[in-house]
Amino acid sequence: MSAIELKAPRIITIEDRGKNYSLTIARIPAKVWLRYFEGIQSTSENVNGKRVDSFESSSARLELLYATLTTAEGYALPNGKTNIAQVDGWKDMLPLGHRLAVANTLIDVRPSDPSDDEAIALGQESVYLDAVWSADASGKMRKFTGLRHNFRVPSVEQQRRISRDSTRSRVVGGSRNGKTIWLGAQATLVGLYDELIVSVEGYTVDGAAPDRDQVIEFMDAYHKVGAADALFAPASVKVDEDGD
Amino acid sequence: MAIDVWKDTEGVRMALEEIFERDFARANIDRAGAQANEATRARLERTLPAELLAYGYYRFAEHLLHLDAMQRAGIRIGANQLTAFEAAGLVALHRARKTFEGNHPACSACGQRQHNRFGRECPGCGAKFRQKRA
Repeated sequence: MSAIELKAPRIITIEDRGKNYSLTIARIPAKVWLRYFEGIQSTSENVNGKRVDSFESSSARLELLYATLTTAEGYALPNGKTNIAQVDGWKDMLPLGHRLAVANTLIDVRPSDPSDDEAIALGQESVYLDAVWSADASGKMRKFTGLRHNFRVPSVEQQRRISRDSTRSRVVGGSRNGKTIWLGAQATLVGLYDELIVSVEGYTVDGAAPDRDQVIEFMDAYHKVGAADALFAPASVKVDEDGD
Repeated sequence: MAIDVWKDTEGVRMALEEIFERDFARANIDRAGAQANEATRARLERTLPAELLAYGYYRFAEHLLHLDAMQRAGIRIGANQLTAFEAAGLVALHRARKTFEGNHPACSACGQRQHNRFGRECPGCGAKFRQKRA
């Protein structure tokens, strides 16, 4: 089974009008991810008696892309240029659709159901993610499924910390019927991931299964947030609707 | 100007009072509407007090209620583990609960909270209340 290599740059390929383009993304440090999370605008307000939630992250996604995109191939270059790096402002010249597609790939991570039949181990919590990462050797993008993160069981104090930080908000327009701006708890989730992670499956560092320290150092912060968020989310209860 | 909800203790206290009042109203509706048809239940639902504050206040209030529930269950949370905002919020919760309990005293016979302080008879068990003489 192939695994995500955490130290390697990511190559995202896009097929557009019959042509292939590949864009290379450097490993994304946690502080760059945290800047991205800070750039997300998540708000709630009361409009005519109904709650309206809004979420805007496109500018933060583009900033993330600008900070991490190292090169691109497949584009026709101006006369006299042999490499895209020789073109001033080349990142701005990429089609907006391509830039957004790559940015969307970087955040294409979601919780998934376990594919195996293993029972839950006592004293340990496992969370599974599905994610798109990088093109394979043939240039095809593929989704990695069942990426496993094994955690220690969180303490009351850790549970309280995420409960507290996920309630943090600012209000503009007055305390009555103002707009709530949610500040997000992603930084806390990254910290809790590092405290609780035991091991992972489906990832490698230099081609080998990473030990705990390597997981903390090299795991993509977006995956950390996704896994820690799933860890603290309540399990869904199985309901038999027709009572049979 | 933006208000940091954590620091607005008075706003948090108001949100908690609203939550207590709404929960009380909902419990009454559930009791009254247990045998009611859908239209009557919908009409009763519309009498629920509206949320008057920005949503951030209710979300932080829920966190404080969760903390309070843990403390009431005997789970010790040390003062050095709480932020100053949580501690101030718990004090606001205490005040909001006192206000609610003052406005809706419990029946000494069955424990059901009353609609106000001036009722003469418990709607739950029918116990008669003695009126204070002026």
